[in-house]
Amino acid sequence: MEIVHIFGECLYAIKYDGETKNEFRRLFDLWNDPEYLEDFFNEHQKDLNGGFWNTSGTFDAMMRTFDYAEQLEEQLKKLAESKNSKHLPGLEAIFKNLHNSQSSVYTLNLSKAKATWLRIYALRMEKDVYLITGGAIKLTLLMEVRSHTNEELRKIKMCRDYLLKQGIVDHDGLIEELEI
Amino acid sequence: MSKVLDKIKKIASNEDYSWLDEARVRLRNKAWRKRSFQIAARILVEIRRQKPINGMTQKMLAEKMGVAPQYINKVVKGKENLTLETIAKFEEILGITLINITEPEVQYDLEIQDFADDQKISNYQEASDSSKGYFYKIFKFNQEDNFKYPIEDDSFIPYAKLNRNDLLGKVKAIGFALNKITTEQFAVIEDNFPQDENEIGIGINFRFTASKSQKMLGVFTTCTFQVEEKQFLVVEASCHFKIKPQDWENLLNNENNELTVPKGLLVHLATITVGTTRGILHAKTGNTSFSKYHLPIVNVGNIIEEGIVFKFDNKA
Repeated sequence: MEIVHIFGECLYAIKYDGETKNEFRRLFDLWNDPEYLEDFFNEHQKDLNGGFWNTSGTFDAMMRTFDYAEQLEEQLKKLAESKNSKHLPGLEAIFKNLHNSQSSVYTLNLSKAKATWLRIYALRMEKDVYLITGGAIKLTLLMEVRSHTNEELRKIKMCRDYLLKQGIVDHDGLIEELEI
Repeated sequence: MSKVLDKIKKIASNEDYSWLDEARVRLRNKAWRKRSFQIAARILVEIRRQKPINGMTQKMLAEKMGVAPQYINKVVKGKENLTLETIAKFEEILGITLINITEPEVQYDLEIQDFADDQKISNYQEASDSSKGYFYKIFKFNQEDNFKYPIEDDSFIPYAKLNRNDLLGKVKAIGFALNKITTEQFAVIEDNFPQDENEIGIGINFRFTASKSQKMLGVFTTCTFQVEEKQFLVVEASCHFKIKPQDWENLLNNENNELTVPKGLLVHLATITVGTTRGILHAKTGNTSFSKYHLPIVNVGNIIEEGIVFKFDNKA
Protein backbone atom coordinates (compact mmCIF):
# COMPACT_ATOMS: atom_id res chain seq x y z
CA MET A 1 0.00 0.00 0.00
CA GLU A 2 1.02 3.64 -0.45
CA ILE A 3 0.26 6.92 1.26
CA VAL A 4 -0.76 9.62 -1.17
CA HIS A 5 -1.12 13.33 -0.49
CA ILE A 6 -4.52 14.54 -1.74
CA PHE A 7 -5.00 18.16 -0.70
CA GLY A 8 -4.10 20.71 1.94
CA GLU A 9 -0.97 20.09 3.89
CA CYS A 10 -2.30 17.37 6.10
CA LEU A 11 -4.84 15.25 4.24
CA TYR A 12 -3.60 11.95 2.90
CA ALA A 13 -5.20 8.82 1.55
CA ILE A 14 -4.17 5.23 1.18
CA LYS A 15 -3.81 3.60 -2.21
CA TYR A 16 -4.08 -0.14 -1.75
CA ASP A 17 -2.15 -2.68 -3.77
CA GLY A 18 -3.97 -3.57 -6.97
CA GLU A 19 -5.98 -0.32 -7.04
CA THR A 20 -5.36 2.36 -9.65
CA LYS A 21 -6.72 5.19 -7.49
CA ASN A 22 -6.36 6.29 -3.91
CA GLU A 23 -9.32 5.61 -1.65
CA PHE A 24 -10.60 9.17 -1.73
CA ARG A 25 -10.92 9.30 -5.52
CA ARG A 26 -12.09 5.71 -5.71
CA LEU A 27 -14.96 6.36 -3.35
CA PHE A 28 -16.33 9.34 -5.27
CA ASP A 29 -16.01 7.40 -8.50
CA LEU A 30 -18.03 4.55 -7.02
CA TRP A 31 -20.69 6.81 -5.56
CA ASN A 32 -21.20 8.39 -8.96
CA ASP A 33 -21.32 5.06 -10.80
CA PRO A 34 -24.91 3.95 -11.46
CA GLU A 35 -23.84 0.43 -12.39
CA TYR A 36 -21.99 -0.09 -9.12
CA LEU A 37 -24.82 1.42 -7.09
CA GLU A 38 -27.54 -0.61 -8.80
CA ASP A 39 -25.67 -3.82 -8.03
CA PHE A 40 -24.97 -2.72 -4.47
CA PHE A 41 -28.52 -1.72 -3.58
CA ASN A 42 -29.96 -4.77 -5.27
CA GLU A 43 -27.74 -6.88 -3.04
CA HIS A 44 -28.68 -4.91 0.08
CA GLN A 45 -32.44 -4.58 -0.54
CA LYS A 46 -33.32 -5.82 2.91
CA ASP A 47 -31.24 -3.14 4.59
CA LEU A 48 -32.91 -0.50 2.41
CA ASN A 49 -36.35 -1.71 3.31
CA GLY A 50 -35.38 -2.11 6.94
CA GLY A 51 -37.40 0.92 7.92
CA PHE A 52 -34.81 3.43 9.04
CA TRP A 53 -34.02 4.78 5.59
CA ASN A 54 -37.55 4.80 4.24
CA THR A 55 -36.60 4.37 0.60
CA SER A 56 -38.95 3.29 -2.12
CA GLY A 57 -36.42 0.95 -3.76
CA THR A 58 -33.20 0.72 -5.69
CA PHE A 59 -33.83 3.68 -8.00
CA ASP A 60 -34.65 5.96 -5.08
CA ALA A 61 -31.53 4.78 -3.21
CA MET A 62 -29.37 5.44 -6.24
CA MET A 63 -30.67 8.98 -6.64
CA ARG A 64 -30.20 9.66 -2.93
CA THR A 65 -26.61 8.49 -3.15
CA PHE A 66 -26.02 10.85 -6.05
CA ASP A 67 -27.34 13.73 -3.96
CA TYR A 68 -25.42 12.75 -0.83
CA ALA A 69 -22.17 12.44 -2.80
CA GLU A 70 -22.73 15.82 -4.39
CA GLN A 71 -23.30 17.48 -1.01
CA LEU A 72 -20.23 15.87 0.46
CA GLU A 73 -18.07 16.78 -2.48
CA GLU A 74 -19.34 20.37 -2.37
CA GLN A 75 -18.39 20.60 1.29
CA LEU A 76 -14.90 19.17 0.76
CA LYS A 77 -14.28 21.26 -2.34
CA LYS A 78 -15.05 24.43 -0.34
CA LEU A 79 -12.57 23.31 2.24
CA ALA A 80 -9.91 22.54 -0.36
CA GLU A 81 -10.41 25.93 -2.02
CA SER A 82 -10.64 28.00 1.14
CA LYS A 83 -8.02 30.50 2.31
CA ASN A 84 -6.94 28.06 4.97
CA SER A 85 -6.71 25.18 2.59
CA LYS A 86 -3.16 24.55 3.66
CA HIS A 87 -4.04 23.68 7.21
CA LEU A 88 -7.67 22.70 6.67
CA PRO A 89 -9.08 23.78 10.04
CA GLY A 90 -12.55 22.82 8.83
CA LEU A 91 -11.61 19.14 8.81
CA GLU A 92 -11.97 19.03 12.56
CA ALA A 93 -15.60 20.03 12.20
CA ILE A 94 -16.53 17.36 9.74
CA PHE A 95 -14.73 14.35 11.19
CA LYS A 96 -16.20 12.63 14.18
CA ASN A 97 -15.20 9.72 16.37
CA LEU A 98 -16.19 6.32 14.98
CA HIS A 99 -16.78 4.66 18.29
CA ASN A 100 -18.29 6.13 21.41
CA SER A 101 -15.27 5.27 23.44
CA GLN A 102 -11.55 5.78 23.40
CA SER A 103 -10.62 5.35 19.83
CA SER A 104 -8.54 6.90 17.18
CA VAL A 105 -10.75 6.24 14.20
CA TYR A 106 -12.90 8.92 12.74
CA THR A 107 -15.72 9.00 10.26
CA LEU A 108 -16.36 11.86 7.95
CA ASN A 109 -19.61 13.37 9.03
CA LEU A 110 -21.45 15.23 6.33
CA SER A 111 -23.61 17.26 8.56
CA LYS A 112 -25.21 16.90 11.95
CA ALA A 113 -28.57 17.83 10.54
CA LYS A 114 -28.78 15.45 7.60
CA ALA A 115 -28.86 11.69 7.63
CA THR A 116 -26.65 10.15 4.97
CA TRP A 117 -25.40 6.63 4.45
CA LEU A 118 -22.07 7.66 2.93
CA ARG A 119 -19.03 7.21 5.17
CA ILE A 120 -15.35 8.07 4.77
CA TYR A 121 -13.04 6.53 7.35
CA ALA A 122 -9.79 8.10 8.46
CA LEU A 123 -7.04 7.85 11.01
CA ARG A 124 -5.93 11.04 12.71
CA MET A 125 -2.47 11.53 14.09
CA GLU A 126 -1.37 14.39 16.29
CA LYS A 127 -3.61 17.39 15.93
CA ASP A 128 -4.27 17.68 12.29
CA VAL A 129 -2.85 14.93 10.14
CA TYR A 130 -5.51 12.75 8.55
CA LEU A 131 -5.11 9.54 6.61
CA ILE A 132 -8.15 8.31 4.73
CA THR A 133 -8.33 4.54 4.86
CA GLY A 134 -11.54 3.87 3.00
CA GLY A 135 -15.28 4.41 2.97
CA ALA A 136 -18.60 2.71 2.47
CA ILE A 137 -22.33 2.99 2.03
CA LYS A 138 -23.38 2.14 5.56
CA LEU A 139 -26.97 0.97 5.79
CA THR A 140 -26.76 -0.76 9.16
CA LEU A 141 -26.05 0.53 12.63
CA LEU A 142 -23.01 -1.66 13.22
CA MET A 143 -20.16 -2.09 10.77
CA GLU A 144 -19.48 -5.65 11.89
CA VAL A 145 -22.78 -7.03 10.62
CA ARG A 146 -22.08 -6.55 6.90
CA SER A 147 -19.11 -7.82 4.97
CA HIS A 148 -18.45 -4.60 3.08
CA THR A 149 -18.33 -2.44 6.23
CA ASN A 150 -16.51 -5.14 8.14
CA GLU A 151 -13.91 -4.96 5.41
CA GLU A 152 -13.47 -1.26 6.23
CA LEU A 153 -12.71 -2.17 9.82
CA ARG A 154 -10.09 -4.57 8.56
CA LYS A 155 -8.56 -1.85 6.37
CA ILE A 156 -8.51 0.57 9.31
CA LYS A 157 -6.58 -1.95 11.40
CA MET A 158 -4.27 -2.69 8.50
CA CYS A 159 -3.48 1.03 8.10
CA ARG A 160 -2.96 1.51 11.80
CA ASP A 161 -0.48 -1.36 11.79
CA TYR A 162 1.20 0.17 8.74
CA LEU A 163 1.64 3.53 10.49
CA LEU A 164 3.20 1.84 13.46
CA LYS A 165 5.43 -0.32 11.29
CA GLN A 166 6.63 2.71 9.29
CA GLY A 167 7.41 4.54 12.51
CA ILE A 168 5.06 7.41 11.69
CA VAL A 169 3.64 7.05 15.17
CA ASP A 170 5.38 5.30 18.03
CA HIS A 171 2.29 3.75 19.50
CA ASP A 172 -1.47 3.88 19.40
CA GLY A 173 -1.62 6.21 22.35
CA LEU A 174 -0.09 9.05 20.36
CA ILE A 175 -3.14 9.16 18.15
CA GLU A 176 -5.48 11.64 19.74
CA GLU A 177 -9.07 10.92 20.43
CA LEU A 178 -11.49 13.43 19.25
CA GLU A 179 -15.18 13.94 19.65
CA ILE A 180 -17.11 16.09 17.29
CA MET B 1 5.93 21.31 11.03
CA SER B 2 4.91 18.45 13.26
CA LYS B 3 6.97 15.32 13.64
CA VAL B 4 4.23 13.12 12.27
CA LEU B 5 3.60 15.34 9.29
CA ASP B 6 7.30 15.40 8.55
CA LYS B 7 7.46 11.61 8.61
CA ILE B 8 4.34 11.21 6.46
CA LYS B 9 5.73 13.58 3.87
CA LYS B 10 8.84 11.49 3.61
CA ILE B 11 6.87 8.26 3.38
CA ALA B 12 4.21 9.49 0.95
CA SER B 13 4.92 8.04 -2.44
CA ASN B 14 3.52 10.93 -4.43
CA GLU B 15 0.66 13.34 -4.61
CA ASP B 16 -2.62 12.93 -6.38
CA TYR B 17 -4.55 16.16 -6.63
CA SER B 18 -6.87 15.01 -9.39
CA TRP B 19 -9.82 14.58 -7.04
CA LEU B 20 -10.26 18.36 -6.83
CA ASP B 21 -10.28 18.74 -10.62
CA GLU B 22 -12.71 15.85 -10.94
CA ALA B 23 -14.94 17.34 -8.24
CA ARG B 24 -14.95 20.69 -9.98
CA VAL B 25 -16.03 19.09 -13.27
CA ARG B 26 -18.73 17.04 -11.55
CA LEU B 27 -20.15 20.00 -9.69
CA ARG B 28 -19.93 22.36 -12.65
CA ASN B 29 -21.96 19.97 -14.80
CA LYS B 30 -24.27 18.73 -12.10
CA ALA B 31 -27.52 19.69 -13.83
CA TRP B 32 -27.19 17.50 -16.91
CA ARG B 33 -25.10 14.94 -15.04
CA LYS B 34 -27.95 14.30 -12.67
CA ARG B 35 -30.26 13.72 -15.62
CA SER B 36 -27.76 11.36 -17.22
CA PHE B 37 -27.40 9.52 -13.91
CA GLN B 38 -31.17 9.31 -13.55
CA ILE B 39 -31.55 7.86 -17.04
CA ALA B 40 -28.77 5.37 -16.44
CA ALA B 41 -30.34 4.33 -13.14
CA ARG B 42 -33.73 3.85 -14.75
CA ILE B 43 -32.29 1.80 -17.60
CA LEU B 44 -30.34 -0.44 -15.22
CA VAL B 45 -33.33 -1.06 -12.98
CA GLU B 46 -35.47 -1.84 -16.02
CA ILE B 47 -32.92 -4.27 -17.51
CA ARG B 48 -32.87 -6.14 -14.21
CA ARG B 49 -36.67 -6.19 -14.13
CA GLN B 50 -36.99 -7.49 -17.68
CA LYS B 51 -34.22 -10.06 -17.48
CA PRO B 52 -36.34 -12.91 -16.08
CA ILE B 53 -39.13 -12.06 -18.52
CA ASN B 54 -37.37 -11.70 -21.86
CA GLY B 55 -33.70 -12.29 -21.03
CA MET B 56 -32.84 -8.59 -21.36
CA THR B 57 -29.18 -7.71 -20.87
CA GLN B 58 -27.01 -4.75 -21.76
CA LYS B 59 -25.76 -6.73 -24.76
CA MET B 60 -29.32 -7.43 -25.98
CA LEU B 61 -30.22 -3.80 -25.51
CA ALA B 62 -27.21 -2.80 -27.62
CA GLU B 63 -28.34 -5.15 -30.41
CA LYS B 64 -31.86 -3.77 -30.37
CA MET B 65 -30.54 -0.21 -30.37
CA GLY B 66 -28.16 -1.02 -33.22
CA VAL B 67 -25.14 0.19 -31.24
CA ALA B 68 -21.99 -1.36 -29.86
CA PRO B 69 -22.21 -2.85 -26.33
CA GLN B 70 -19.48 -0.43 -25.27
CA TYR B 71 -21.86 2.43 -25.94
CA ILE B 72 -24.49 0.98 -23.62
CA ASN B 73 -21.79 0.51 -21.04
CA LYS B 74 -20.94 4.20 -21.30
CA VAL B 75 -24.58 5.19 -20.99
CA VAL B 76 -25.13 3.14 -17.84
CA LYS B 77 -22.11 4.82 -16.26
CA GLY B 78 -24.21 7.98 -16.22
CA LYS B 79 -21.69 10.22 -17.91
CA GLU B 80 -23.20 10.56 -21.35
CA ASN B 81 -24.88 13.75 -22.50
CA LEU B 82 -27.57 11.88 -24.41
CA THR B 83 -29.43 13.19 -27.41
CA LEU B 84 -33.21 13.27 -27.45
CA GLU B 85 -33.14 10.76 -30.28
CA THR B 86 -31.16 8.28 -28.21
CA ILE B 87 -33.40 8.79 -25.20
CA ALA B 88 -36.48 8.21 -27.34
CA LYS B 89 -34.96 4.98 -28.65
CA PHE B 90 -34.29 3.69 -25.15
CA GLU B 91 -37.87 4.53 -24.19
CA GLU B 92 -39.27 2.69 -27.17
CA ILE B 93 -37.17 -0.44 -26.79
CA LEU B 94 -37.52 -0.78 -23.04
CA GLY B 95 -41.11 0.43 -22.95
CA ILE B 96 -40.45 3.03 -20.29
CA THR B 97 -40.60 6.79 -19.93
CA LEU B 98 -37.31 8.49 -19.24
CA ILE B 99 -38.37 12.06 -19.71
CA ASN B 100 -41.77 13.23 -18.58
CA ILE B 101 -42.79 16.79 -19.32
CA THR B 102 -46.02 17.89 -17.71
CA GLU B 103 -48.36 20.64 -18.75
CA PRO B 104 -47.77 23.91 -17.02
CA GLU B 105 -50.23 24.62 -14.28
CA VAL B 106 -51.05 27.68 -12.39
CA GLN B 107 -51.92 26.78 -8.90
CA TYR B 108 -52.73 28.84 -5.91
CA ASP B 109 -53.09 27.89 -2.31
CA LEU B 110 -56.05 28.79 -0.24
CA GLU B 111 -55.13 29.29 3.35
CA ILE B 112 -57.47 29.00 6.25
CA GLN B 113 -56.77 31.71 8.73
CA ASP B 114 -57.97 32.08 12.25
CA PHE B 115 -59.51 35.40 13.10
CA ALA B 116 -59.59 36.78 16.58
CA ASP B 117 -63.00 36.89 18.22
CA ASP B 118 -63.26 40.63 17.98
CA GLN B 119 -62.91 40.43 14.22
CA LYS B 120 -65.88 38.14 13.74
CA ILE B 121 -68.89 39.84 12.28
CA SER B 122 -72.32 38.32 12.62
CA ASN B 123 -74.22 40.35 10.05
CA TYR B 124 -73.27 42.14 6.94
CA GLN B 125 -74.96 44.06 4.24
CA GLU B 126 -75.49 42.32 0.99
CA ALA B 127 -74.39 44.06 -2.12
CA SER B 128 -77.02 45.15 -4.57
CA ASP B 129 -78.87 42.68 -6.79
CA SER B 130 -76.57 43.29 -9.69
CA SER B 131 -73.78 41.76 -7.65
CA LYS B 132 -75.19 38.27 -7.37
CA GLY B 133 -74.29 35.31 -9.53
CA TYR B 134 -76.47 32.26 -10.16
CA PHE B 135 -75.51 28.79 -11.27
CA TYR B 136 -77.87 25.87 -11.63
CA LYS B 137 -77.72 22.23 -12.56
CA ILE B 138 -80.10 19.27 -12.36
CA PHE B 139 -78.94 15.74 -11.67
CA LYS B 140 -80.98 12.65 -12.27
CA PHE B 141 -80.68 9.48 -10.23
CA ASN B 142 -82.16 6.06 -10.28
CA GLN B 143 -83.98 5.59 -7.01
CA GLU B 144 -83.52 1.81 -7.04
CA ASP B 145 -79.78 2.27 -6.81
CA ASN B 146 -80.22 4.50 -3.82
CA PHE B 147 -78.66 7.47 -5.57
CA LYS B 148 -75.34 5.76 -6.02
CA TYR B 149 -75.26 5.78 -9.79
CA PRO B 150 -76.19 8.96 -11.52
CA ILE B 151 -77.67 8.95 -14.98
CA GLU B 152 -75.42 11.85 -15.87
CA ASP B 153 -71.99 10.33 -15.38
CA ASP B 154 -70.03 13.50 -14.91
CA SER B 155 -71.90 14.30 -11.73
CA PHE B 156 -69.80 11.99 -9.62
CA ILE B 157 -66.29 13.19 -10.22
CA PRO B 158 -65.17 13.98 -6.68
CA TYR B 159 -63.87 17.39 -5.82
CA ALA B 160 -60.10 16.92 -5.73
CA LYS B 161 -57.67 19.81 -6.04
CA LEU B 162 -57.64 23.37 -7.21
CA ASN B 163 -55.90 23.97 -10.49
CA ARG B 164 -57.16 26.99 -12.23
CA ASN B 165 -55.67 28.87 -15.12
CA ASP B 166 -58.22 31.62 -15.15
CA LEU B 167 -56.86 33.45 -12.16
CA LEU B 168 -56.90 37.12 -12.91
CA GLY B 169 -54.01 39.31 -12.01
CA LYS B 170 -51.14 38.04 -9.92
CA VAL B 171 -53.00 36.84 -6.88
CA LYS B 172 -51.40 33.66 -5.69
CA ALA B 173 -53.12 33.06 -2.39
CA ILE B 174 -56.46 34.08 -0.93
CA GLY B 175 -56.98 33.77 2.79
CA PHE B 176 -60.48 33.27 4.11
CA ALA B 177 -62.27 32.33 7.29
CA LEU B 178 -65.69 30.82 7.79
CA ASN B 179 -67.63 33.39 9.70
CA LYS B 180 -71.23 32.18 9.79
CA ILE B 181 -73.50 29.32 8.73
CA THR B 182 -77.22 29.79 8.27
CA THR B 183 -79.99 27.39 7.43
CA GLU B 184 -81.92 29.58 5.05
CA GLN B 185 -84.82 27.20 4.43
CA PHE B 186 -85.93 23.63 4.86
CA ALA B 187 -89.21 22.41 3.44
CA VAL B 188 -90.94 19.09 2.81
CA ILE B 189 -93.87 19.05 0.40
CA GLU B 190 -95.58 15.78 1.19
CA ASP B 191 -98.12 15.99 -1.62
CA ASN B 192 -95.27 15.76 -4.10
CA PHE B 193 -93.55 12.87 -2.36
CA PRO B 194 -92.54 10.22 -4.95
CA GLN B 195 -94.61 7.05 -4.96
CA ASP B 196 -93.62 4.80 -7.81
CA GLU B 197 -91.36 7.00 -9.81
CA ASN B 198 -87.81 5.76 -10.34
CA GLU B 199 -86.28 8.94 -11.50
CA ILE B 200 -85.56 11.58 -8.86
CA GLY B 201 -84.14 14.87 -9.93
CA ILE B 202 -81.80 16.83 -7.66
CA GLY B 203 -81.27 20.47 -8.43
CA ILE B 204 -78.27 22.37 -7.14
CA ASN B 205 -78.31 26.12 -7.22
CA PHE B 206 -75.53 28.46 -6.13
CA ARG B 207 -75.94 32.11 -5.37
CA PHE B 208 -73.10 34.42 -4.40
CA THR B 209 -73.08 37.73 -2.64
CA ALA B 210 -70.35 40.14 -1.68
CA SER B 211 -70.02 42.95 0.82
CA LYS B 212 -67.37 45.57 0.19
CA SER B 213 -67.50 47.13 3.62
CA GLN B 214 -67.24 43.81 5.45
CA LYS B 215 -64.90 42.20 2.93
CA MET B 216 -67.11 39.13 2.92
CA LEU B 217 -68.41 36.64 0.41
CA GLY B 218 -71.62 34.73 0.90
CA VAL B 219 -72.42 31.42 -0.75
CA PHE B 220 -76.00 30.18 -0.79
CA THR B 221 -76.64 26.60 -1.83
CA THR B 222 -80.13 25.43 -2.58
CA CYS B 223 -80.78 21.75 -3.05
CA THR B 224 -84.15 20.60 -4.34
CA PHE B 225 -85.41 17.04 -4.74
CA GLN B 226 -88.12 16.65 -7.36
CA VAL B 227 -90.13 14.20 -9.33
CA GLU B 228 -91.43 15.28 -12.73
CA GLU B 229 -90.35 18.80 -11.85
CA LYS B 230 -92.44 18.82 -8.67
CA GLN B 231 -90.30 19.60 -5.65
CA PHE B 232 -90.86 17.48 -2.59
CA LEU B 233 -87.81 18.43 -0.50
CA VAL B 234 -85.92 21.72 -0.37
CA VAL B 235 -82.95 22.71 1.72
CA GLU B 236 -80.99 25.92 1.49
CA ALA B 237 -77.95 26.82 3.54
CA SER B 238 -75.46 29.60 3.39
CA CYS B 239 -71.87 30.04 4.45
CA HIS B 240 -70.36 33.44 4.91
CA PHE B 241 -66.64 33.92 4.49
CA LYS B 242 -64.46 36.74 5.62
CA ILE B 243 -61.67 37.38 3.15
CA LYS B 244 -58.22 38.37 4.39
CA PRO B 245 -58.08 42.16 3.94
CA GLN B 246 -54.92 42.29 1.87
CA ASP B 247 -56.16 39.54 -0.43
CA TRP B 248 -59.49 41.34 -0.77
CA GLU B 249 -57.59 44.42 -1.91
CA ASN B 250 -55.84 42.34 -4.56
CA LEU B 251 -59.21 41.31 -5.96
CA LEU B 252 -60.75 44.77 -5.76
CA ASN B 253 -60.59 47.36 -8.50
CA ASN B 254 -61.16 50.62 -6.65
CA GLU B 255 -61.42 52.66 -9.81
CA ASN B 256 -64.39 50.72 -11.16
CA ASN B 257 -65.66 49.67 -7.74
CA GLU B 258 -65.58 46.05 -8.85
CA LEU B 259 -64.54 42.85 -7.11
CA THR B 260 -63.28 40.07 -9.36
CA VAL B 261 -63.59 36.69 -7.73
CA PRO B 262 -61.88 33.90 -9.66
CA LYS B 263 -63.71 30.69 -10.46
CA GLY B 264 -61.34 28.66 -8.33
CA LEU B 265 -62.26 30.54 -5.17
CA LEU B 266 -65.97 30.32 -5.96
CA VAL B 267 -65.68 26.58 -6.49
CA HIS B 268 -63.79 26.11 -3.24
CA LEU B 269 -66.21 28.14 -1.15
CA ALA B 270 -69.18 26.52 -2.86
CA THR B 271 -67.78 23.08 -2.13
CA ILE B 272 -67.55 23.92 1.56
CA THR B 273 -71.12 25.20 1.44
CA VAL B 274 -72.38 22.07 -0.35
CA GLY B 275 -70.86 19.98 2.43
CA THR B 276 -72.53 22.16 5.02
CA THR B 277 -75.86 21.86 3.23
CA ARG B 278 -75.46 18.11 3.04
CA GLY B 279 -74.96 17.99 6.79
CA ILE B 280 -77.94 20.19 7.51
CA LEU B 281 -80.17 18.02 5.27
CA HIS B 282 -78.95 14.92 7.04
CA ALA B 283 -79.60 16.42 10.46
CA LYS B 284 -83.06 17.63 9.48
CA THR B 285 -84.23 14.36 7.92
CA GLY B 286 -82.74 11.94 10.38
CA ASN B 287 -85.23 9.31 11.64
CA THR B 288 -87.83 10.38 9.07
CA SER B 289 -89.00 8.80 5.83
CA PHE B 290 -86.93 11.42 4.02
CA SER B 291 -83.65 10.25 5.51
CA LYS B 292 -82.81 8.23 2.43
CA TYR B 293 -82.43 11.41 0.43
CA HIS B 294 -78.97 12.83 0.75
CA LEU B 295 -77.06 15.36 -1.26
CA PRO B 296 -74.62 13.32 -3.37
CA ILE B 297 -71.05 14.28 -4.24
CA VAL B 298 -71.13 16.89 -6.95
CA ASN B 299 -68.47 18.30 -9.18
CA VAL B 300 -68.90 21.93 -8.29
CA GLY B 301 -66.38 22.88 -10.93
CA ASN B 302 -68.77 21.65 -13.60
CA ILE B 303 -71.59 23.78 -12.28
CA ILE B 304 -69.76 27.05 -11.68
CA GLU B 305 -68.58 27.94 -15.11
CA GLU B 306 -66.68 31.12 -14.54
CA GLY B 307 -65.58 33.70 -12.01
CA ILE B 308 -67.77 36.63 -11.02
CA VAL B 309 -67.23 40.34 -11.20
CA PHE B 310 -69.24 41.98 -8.43
CA LYS B 311 -70.15 45.54 -9.26
CA PHE B 312 -70.66 47.52 -6.11
CA ASP B 313 -72.80 50.62 -6.21
CA ASN B 314 -71.24 53.68 -4.66
CA LYS B 315 -73.05 53.19 -1.36
CA ALA B 316 -71.60 49.68 -0.74
